[in-house]
Amino acid sequence: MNLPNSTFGQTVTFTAAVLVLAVLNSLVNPSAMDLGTDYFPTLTQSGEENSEGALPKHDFGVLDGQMVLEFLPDLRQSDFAVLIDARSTAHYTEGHIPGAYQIDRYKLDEYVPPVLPAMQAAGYVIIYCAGGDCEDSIFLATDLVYHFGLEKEVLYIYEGGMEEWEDLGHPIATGKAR
Amino acid sequence: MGRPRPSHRNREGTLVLRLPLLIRFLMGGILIAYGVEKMMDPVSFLKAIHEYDILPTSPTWILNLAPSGIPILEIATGLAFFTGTLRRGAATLMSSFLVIFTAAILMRTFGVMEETGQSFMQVEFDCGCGAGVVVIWEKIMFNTVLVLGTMHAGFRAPSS
Repeated sequence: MNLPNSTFGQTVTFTAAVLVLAVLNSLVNPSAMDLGTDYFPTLTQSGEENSEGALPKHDFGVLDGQMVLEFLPDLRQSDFAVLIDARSTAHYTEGHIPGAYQIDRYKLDEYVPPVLPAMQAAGYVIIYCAGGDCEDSIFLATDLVYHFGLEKEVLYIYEGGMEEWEDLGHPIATGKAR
Repeated sequence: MGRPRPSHRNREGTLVLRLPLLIRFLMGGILIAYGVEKMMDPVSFLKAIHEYDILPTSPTWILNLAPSGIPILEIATGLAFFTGTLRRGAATLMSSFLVIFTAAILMRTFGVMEETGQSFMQVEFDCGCGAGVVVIWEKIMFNTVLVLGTMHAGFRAPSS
C-alpha cells in the first residue's frame, strides 16, 4: 500500500485512521463510554452553570452525615430507605457505607435494574459518591428521575459523601456489592 | 595490525548522532504510556474533559468519543514514532492537539485564578493528563517540551 509522502497527506490519513479506530473502540470495547448516553444531564429547570470546583446546582433534598447515620438500622431491613453508592466497583469494594447498594453511574444499564424495585418501593433513596466536588451522586439522581421514572421527591443527596463519612469516623463496610 | 579500536571520541560522536533517534523513541514511549493510562480509566478522563467545558454535551457522541479518541491518538502517534510510518502526519496532529489542549488548560487556569484569587504559580487541578492533580505551571512547561519533542520526533529525527 502506498502511503502519502507529503505532510498534509500523512496528516489527513493519520487523522482518518485515528477517527476510525476511536469509533471502533467506542463500539466494541465494553469499558469505553457509550456514544449515545448523556453522562452530564441538565440538573435544574434553569440549567444554571456551576462554578469551578463547586457541586452542580440541583433540586434534590440534601442530607448530612448525622441524618444518614440515623437511616443505617433501616437499610436492607424495610422499604423505608435505600442507600446508593454511585462510585465505581473499585472504590465501593475498598470501603462504603454499610447497607449501601452500588450503582456505577457510568454503567446504568448493568447496575440499575437489580436495585430498581428496592428504590421504587422506598420512601427515601439516598445517594452519595466520593464527596468533595464529586458530582456523580447528583447526575445519578437526575438519571433515575428522567430515565427510570423515580419520583424526584424521594431522592436525597448526601453531599459530604464518603470523604466526610470517613472523617466523621462512622462505620465502613468493605467488599463487593451484594 | 588488527582492527582499530573505537576511540572515546568516536563513542561520544556515535551517541550524539543517536540522540535524535533516542528522543524519537523516548517520545513514542511517553505517548504510548499516556495513552494506555487514559484508556484504562475512561470515566475519569471523560470527567476531566467535561470540566474544560470546551466540547458540547449535545450531541452526546462528540464528548463521549474523546475518551476513546485521545488515547488512541497518543498510542498511534507513539507507534508511528517507533515504526516511522506516517510519523510526520502523526507529529502534526499530535502537536496540534497538544497546543489546543495546553491553551484549554491555560484558559481553565485563568478561570480558577479569577474564582479563587490564587496566583498562577499556585493553581493545581486534575488536568485530565493521566497524572491526577498537578501543579499547572509545571504541566504547561512539560506540555511545551512535549510539543517540541513531538515536532522533533516527527520532522527532525532520522528515519533509523
